[in-house]
Amino acid sequence: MDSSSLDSAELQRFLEQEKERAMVTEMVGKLTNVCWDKCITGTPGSKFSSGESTCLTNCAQRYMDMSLIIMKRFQSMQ
Amino acid sequence: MSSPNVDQLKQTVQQETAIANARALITGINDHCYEKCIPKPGATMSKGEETCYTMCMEKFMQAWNTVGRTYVARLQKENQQQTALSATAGLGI
Repeated sequence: MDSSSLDSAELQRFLEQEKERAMVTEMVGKLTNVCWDKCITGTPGSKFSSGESTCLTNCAQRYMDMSLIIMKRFQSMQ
Repeated sequence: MSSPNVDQLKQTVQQETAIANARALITGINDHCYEKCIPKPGATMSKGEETCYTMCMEKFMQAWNTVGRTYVARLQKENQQQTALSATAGLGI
């Protein structure tokens, strides 16, 4: 099989990987926007306070918890 | 013969992804930092506004990284659990 052809399995894998990476980045961007609004309430100083850092981490974690709950609910409908 | 085309295609895909990422980050910075630092736009950009914008930009990128690290770590953890779960299911346990 010609590994350099456009329909090669290797290229499909590459595209699949890139797609996945793009999805992760999109999610990170969305989460950053949401969590910034929740956690960074004052005028930004030059560095995060530890409270802000913790808030950002918690915010991302809870969002993931929520996604899991939704996923489980939909799985139970099948 | 088709080899350079595939390489070219891969490169283009990676470039486009990188551009899309950069665009998302820049949009985020502008959306949030403009709001915070320039509540009442004057005729010129004041020194204070500029300082605020610079700091805000740095912090937004830091927040992006913090959230990204957390998200990716969690994703890996969930994937591992999923794999472990389906492995147990496969064993009929």
